Amino acid sequence: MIEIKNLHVRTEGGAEILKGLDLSIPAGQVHAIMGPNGSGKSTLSYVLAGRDGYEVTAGSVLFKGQDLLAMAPEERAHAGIFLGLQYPVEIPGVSNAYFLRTAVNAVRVARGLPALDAVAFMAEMRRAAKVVELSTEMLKRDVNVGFSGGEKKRNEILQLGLLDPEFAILDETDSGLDIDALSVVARGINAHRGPGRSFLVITHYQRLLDHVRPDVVHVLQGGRIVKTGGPELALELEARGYGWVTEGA
Amino acid sequence: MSDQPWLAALRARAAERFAADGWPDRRTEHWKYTPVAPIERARLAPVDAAAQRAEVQAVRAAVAPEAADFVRDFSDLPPAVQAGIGRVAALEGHAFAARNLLDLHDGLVIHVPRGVRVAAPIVLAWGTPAVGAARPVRVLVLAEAQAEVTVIERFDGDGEGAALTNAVTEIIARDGAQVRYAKAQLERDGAFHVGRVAIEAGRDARVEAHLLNLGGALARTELDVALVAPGADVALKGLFGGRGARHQDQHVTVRHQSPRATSDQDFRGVLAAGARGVFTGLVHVAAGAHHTRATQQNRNLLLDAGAHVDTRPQLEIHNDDVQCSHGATTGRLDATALFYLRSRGLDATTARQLLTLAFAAELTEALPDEALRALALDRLRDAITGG
Repeated sequence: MIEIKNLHVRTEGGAEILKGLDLSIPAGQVHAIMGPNGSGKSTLSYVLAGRDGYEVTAGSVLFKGQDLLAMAPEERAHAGIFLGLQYPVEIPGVSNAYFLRTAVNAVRVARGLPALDAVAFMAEMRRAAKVVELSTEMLKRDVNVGFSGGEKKRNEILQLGLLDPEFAILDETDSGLDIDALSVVARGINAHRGPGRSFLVITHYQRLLDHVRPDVVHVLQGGRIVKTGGPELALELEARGYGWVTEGA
Repeated sequence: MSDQPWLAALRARAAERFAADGWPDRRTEHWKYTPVAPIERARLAPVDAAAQRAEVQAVRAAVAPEAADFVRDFSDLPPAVQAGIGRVAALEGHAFAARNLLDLHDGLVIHVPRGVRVAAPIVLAWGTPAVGAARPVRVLVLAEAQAEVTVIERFDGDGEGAALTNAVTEIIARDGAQVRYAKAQLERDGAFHVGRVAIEAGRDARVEAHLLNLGGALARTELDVALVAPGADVALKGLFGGRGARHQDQHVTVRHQSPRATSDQDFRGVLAAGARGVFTGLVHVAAGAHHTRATQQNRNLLLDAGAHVDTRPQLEIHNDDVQCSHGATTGRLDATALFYLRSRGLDATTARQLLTLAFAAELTEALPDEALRALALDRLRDAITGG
């Protein structure tokens, strides 16, 4: 599904963040990336989604055989990439329902599907909102404005459900959530798992992975993947921290 | 048909005033940011009496039938109504207001008797003057005690070409009256528009005035508000800007002359590709105006490096017992929000339009007329695309 080879990235300011990252995720798998602060986790997610402000100095990213790095952010969304943000953006003046419908129809039209009319979209939205237990009241409000941390993350998973991506990157979706919110978000993620969809779950802590069991766990440190293992690696990291990974390497 | 004697008398006064003041220039303090020279250089010819009367009749004829009885021209005004003309729009220091009277032969008066509620909005669609013409437009809205009325003035035209609209609107809201007013300045490219909206709000009167200053090459509207009795409440909401060779100036003066009155100003500019905006706002609180509550806010969105705005919010307070706040901000579209929208599949133009419309949403949603809202949204979208 996605093939990242020797990826080198620096910020526009000049600091090199990713220093030769390799990662391959087959269709239908859930991979987790764990790592200490500043290891490059969020940079990786932004570079994959196409945010400005980063310069790729070497390496390649292929998504279903296409050169992902040559595509605009919206083209990546159309092709099937989704990024759930750590800090979802508040947009006063735009209702959540309007935003979601605009996004869904932009993606549908780009994929050669007919745009949904208001009635069909409402049915679709209700169905997707149910999965993450978001009330229709939240859908009428402005995008993320006045939402709690948990509601913002549930709104991200709602978008995942509506936009139907093949590859979803979830950047610290668990941060700032209490246990109840975490389990709702995790149920939402699990509901969207399937053979045609891959996930990259970026997290600082083990606890999300208690709810969303990954197929593969990677450790990102100093801009590279320094260790890869099964779900048990996450438990070990939780118990022992990150120091031992590079000491032993 | 000759003019009414009262109009001739007003004109004589205006002639004296204009001879004494002349046109403002850059040294005139309250014209510091807006050049008058391009208007003078265009050598525009005043619209003659017959053409003015024809236009006034056409505008009047287009008013919704259920509201038409409240709209009169200058030909048969009762003295008490006629006395309202020129009462709140003072001439001193206002050369264009003097010029308006000097060139004026007819206008419209909306008179709503005591306690009468006019349900249908009264829409005055002035269109745009012929190329080369200087057109005075004059309106008085006189809402007697407890009356309610909505008045919308539209100035719009297609194509391009130099012409001047010099519009003066006076609004008198007597005790307990409720007036909603909107002025849409959407004149064609190359046109000049200088306007004045003078508002007097009486005891417990409520006036809500919207300004859409979104067309023309050089446009200025002065909003002068006098809160003359306790409990008066005036809200001003203005949206200005556009794309390319436009200069849009809003010059606001709010005078709290009485205790326990309230005023709010919310002006937002959206400017792109050479457009220039000016906001000058003064809230003046007189010595006896205790328990005044006044807010004044100007927010500006510059869509690219070619846009410019000058903003001068000012408070002048002559007593301690008030709640006043003011502020101005100028910024760009939020890069993080743009990325967020694009990562959800919206193309860059659509994402920029959505955020721009969101910036103006509180003002566009408050407009008293659906057609006006659609026009405003079109203009804002054009500011992004250059359409």
